Amino acid sequence: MKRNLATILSILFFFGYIYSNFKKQTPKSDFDFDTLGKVPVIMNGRVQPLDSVAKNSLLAMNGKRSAVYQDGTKHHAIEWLAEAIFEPSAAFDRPVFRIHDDGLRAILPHKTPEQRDSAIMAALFGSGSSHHYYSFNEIRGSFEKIRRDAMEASQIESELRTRYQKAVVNLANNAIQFYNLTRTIHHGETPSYLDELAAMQTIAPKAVAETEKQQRGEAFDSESLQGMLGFIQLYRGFGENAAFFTHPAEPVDGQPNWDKMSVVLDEVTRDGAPSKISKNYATLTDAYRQDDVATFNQAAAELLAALDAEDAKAFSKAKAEHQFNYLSPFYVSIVGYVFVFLLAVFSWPFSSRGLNRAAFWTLIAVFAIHTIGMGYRVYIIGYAPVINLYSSAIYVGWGATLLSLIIERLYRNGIGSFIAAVIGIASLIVAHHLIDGRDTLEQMKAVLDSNFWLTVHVLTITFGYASTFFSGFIGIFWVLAGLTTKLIDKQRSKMLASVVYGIICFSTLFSFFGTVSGGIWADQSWGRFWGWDPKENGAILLVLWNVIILHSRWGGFAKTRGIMAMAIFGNVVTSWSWMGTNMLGIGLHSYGFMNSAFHYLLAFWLTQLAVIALAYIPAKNWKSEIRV
Amino acid sequence: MKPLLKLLASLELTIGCLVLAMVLILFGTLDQTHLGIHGATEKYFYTVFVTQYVEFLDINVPYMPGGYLIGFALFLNNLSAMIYRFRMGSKKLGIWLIHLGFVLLLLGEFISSVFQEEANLTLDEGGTADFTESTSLVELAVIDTTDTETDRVYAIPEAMLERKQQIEIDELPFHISVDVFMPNSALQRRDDTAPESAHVVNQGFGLQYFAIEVPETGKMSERNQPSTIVTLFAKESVDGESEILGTWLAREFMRHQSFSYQGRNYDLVLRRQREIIDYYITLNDFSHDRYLGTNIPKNFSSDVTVKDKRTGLEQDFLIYMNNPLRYDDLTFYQASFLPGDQTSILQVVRNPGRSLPYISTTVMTLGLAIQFAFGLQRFSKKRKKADA
Repeated sequence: MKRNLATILSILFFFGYIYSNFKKQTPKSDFDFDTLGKVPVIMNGRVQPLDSVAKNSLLAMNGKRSAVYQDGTKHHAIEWLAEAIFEPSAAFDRPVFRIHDDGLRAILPHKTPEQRDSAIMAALFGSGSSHHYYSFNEIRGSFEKIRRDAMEASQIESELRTRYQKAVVNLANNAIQFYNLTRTIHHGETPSYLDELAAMQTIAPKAVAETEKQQRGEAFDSESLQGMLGFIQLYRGFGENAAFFTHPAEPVDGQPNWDKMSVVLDEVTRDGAPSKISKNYATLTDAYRQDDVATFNQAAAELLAALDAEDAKAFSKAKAEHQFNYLSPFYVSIVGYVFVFLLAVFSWPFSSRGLNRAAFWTLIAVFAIHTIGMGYRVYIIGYAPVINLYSSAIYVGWGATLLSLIIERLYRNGIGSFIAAVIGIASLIVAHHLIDGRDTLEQMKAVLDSNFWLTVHVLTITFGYASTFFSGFIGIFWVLAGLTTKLIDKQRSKMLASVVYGIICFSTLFSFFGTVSGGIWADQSWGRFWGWDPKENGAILLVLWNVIILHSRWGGFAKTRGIMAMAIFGNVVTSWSWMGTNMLGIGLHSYGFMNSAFHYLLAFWLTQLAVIALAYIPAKNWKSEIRV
Repeated sequence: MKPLLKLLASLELTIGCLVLAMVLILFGTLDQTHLGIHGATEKYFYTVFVTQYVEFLDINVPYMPGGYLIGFALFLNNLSAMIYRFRMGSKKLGIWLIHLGFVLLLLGEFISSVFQEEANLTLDEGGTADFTESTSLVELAVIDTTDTETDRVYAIPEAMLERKQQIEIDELPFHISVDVFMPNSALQRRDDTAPESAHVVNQGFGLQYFAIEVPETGKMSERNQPSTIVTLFAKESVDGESEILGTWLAREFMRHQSFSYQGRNYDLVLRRQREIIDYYITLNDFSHDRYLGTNIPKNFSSDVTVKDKRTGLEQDFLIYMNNPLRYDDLTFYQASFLPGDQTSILQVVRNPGRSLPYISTTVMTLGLAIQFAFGLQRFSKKRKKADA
């Protein structure tokens, strides 16, 4: 028991953290926003729960998945969305548009930076950034200019736009998206949605009868038609604006098909009664406006049940995505990896077997959560775990952790856990920055449509990246730990050298087979095996570098130090293949183009080169005794 | 002789070549932002030396070994190493397979680089074609349209136009003299400010327009638009003087220009080089599906019927993303479409070395797997020893 105390405590701590994070996702409100958040709709071509609609919309507008209102209170995304779709007049005042560009802010109403309460805080963190956030009402006055400038800027290729032009296009898109959200469930022209439906139900049958008379050329009552025409006009604009689809409909050509909210008009004129889904949305709208919690909560539950009955598959996908959002597996994994990192580091000075074991088993728990997160994504998208750069970063972290676990299992000295933690933290943070305000569960473009060879290609090549990074980080560890501590003794040095050699063999196999399977896929779909596309060239660079390392070792040109330095340079090559080639903006692998971030890559390369330089400091200056 | 063989078979040469290959590929990739993929491939990979044009010397100066040279050096290095250094034995099986596969891979890529041809097939819905159009080359077609039933086409390939020679075709009663050929050109309205050279054209649309030469592009999104100026003159000469029919400007994407001579009607047009194929392809339907409520393409597909001229056999095929049509030695895949979703553009590829990459990479992957398995076995034996 005592032997495993640290292990048990650390795993308990990790799961406790996951639980508290999960609980934190429920908004503190009497309204049942949890249930509302699970309601499936179709936006951006895919089924998603309202919770994701809320989070992704906010992410695009203010860069976060939550909103801070004008009174300084913080709110969950779904609370903000409920207000936007049910009671837009209030949502128009929420400062959710983040604008960093000074030029763009200059054409908007002036906002003075808030004053910090304490002078120390102000000195430390500056004056805060609340003056960077604008509400829809604040933008409205200048929208004509914004729209004009955005139209002009969108004629220019996105890489060539100025900072102002990028900002103005972004703002225009976000403002339109926000406005569309507010006109998705209700147009807001009448105070009560239910009354409106009732009114329509009474005039519709008469209007239909009069229309038929008109078509037959008989005398008809134009007065009763007039009322109906007013509705039709209102609903037409409303239908065009809607940001998402709310009603499952009959499939067209075997493809799933949904309708927008304006479809209630059709229902009423056709069947004389709105469907359960429409009625529940109307009830939710009215209850929200009247602050009627009990009715709201009941309608939310009924709406969810009605959607489950209509489209069970969409319902379960949305439910899974809702769980995924609440669990936020990759976020909690970062915390888990940090924890493993600390355990591994502290196990060395104390030579503690217990901490070492705790690091290993906690790593397994974190790895499980990381895997579960990828599993959720696969289920939600219905496709292999790597579909864009974001998911490739998550997969690289996962792959490196898997390799580390194997190494740690073999050697049990904490080094594997340590490296796993470092790569896990780094890759998940990189992934986080790759989100860049977009929905990462995007739909597959046609060219990447499901195909066996493509799946094999993407998964093996990305695993090749993961394993090359793994050997590179061992190299860094060998250099830094060897220089500054006495940790790298003769036996450990030998062990690390053999691990690096083994992993490089492994990554040669994977990066080669990954590249080849890409060629096979290209040949099967395009009739040519190799096209010298930037991404293909990047992959072959990685294979070549691994092959060079192996031949250098066999030829005796590189001993331990040389192999380690070359493995570290592998990080440079891999990051070029993985990210750098996407920054060129050309070629067929356009699924993951990035505009910026090049300077981050450059900084990474410089650090790698610096570590390689450190590796060549004469051995007598090292703390550890190394034989090079 | 021996030191040379030793050098050829050496690991130093291997590593040197591999490092050079990395540098070459890196530069070849970076330069794609300027030259496009096609342009950079020709400049860096499908060449013996990478050269740079030096203006004051007026020559291309080689400054880096190209893809062919590095590939050939690796090829020799590999072969000599196999002969002089590699040992036989079941433990060396993986190594042998990897290097044998590599030799085949190099050969395959060389064959592809020389023999692979790419062309397009553009079809409107309901339309039929029995020819493909080159993506890079043009031809000057003289079409005898006298017979209302069938046209007779005399096509002059780009290579002959480039040489600016006088062309004689037996069946035609006139010579064609190529005065100017521009691999890429822009069109301008001809007015008083037009250069002297524009005034030689005295027929057709060249009276209203003239072409100016612009640098060639290798970018995927752009296309060269060649122009040529040709003078036609009669084969029969009277008193040593041939009758001159006229001088025309022809440019790709411009309409046919008609003229008559000796009672026969002709059309003159510069168009993408065509290759007649042994079957008719009819586009029955083109579909372009999008994800609900978005413009994100979900699928493109072309429903086609192929009618073989030789056998009369008719077959239906559906060409869509990742599912090309392979017929005879050609591969047709869904490449693009024109706005309006009525016209499908198929890419057509012929690659006689197609099977070599499959064979070579299978052999190499097998070799790597065997080698890796041996390595793991050795490793676990060592571990067992260490544990004991």
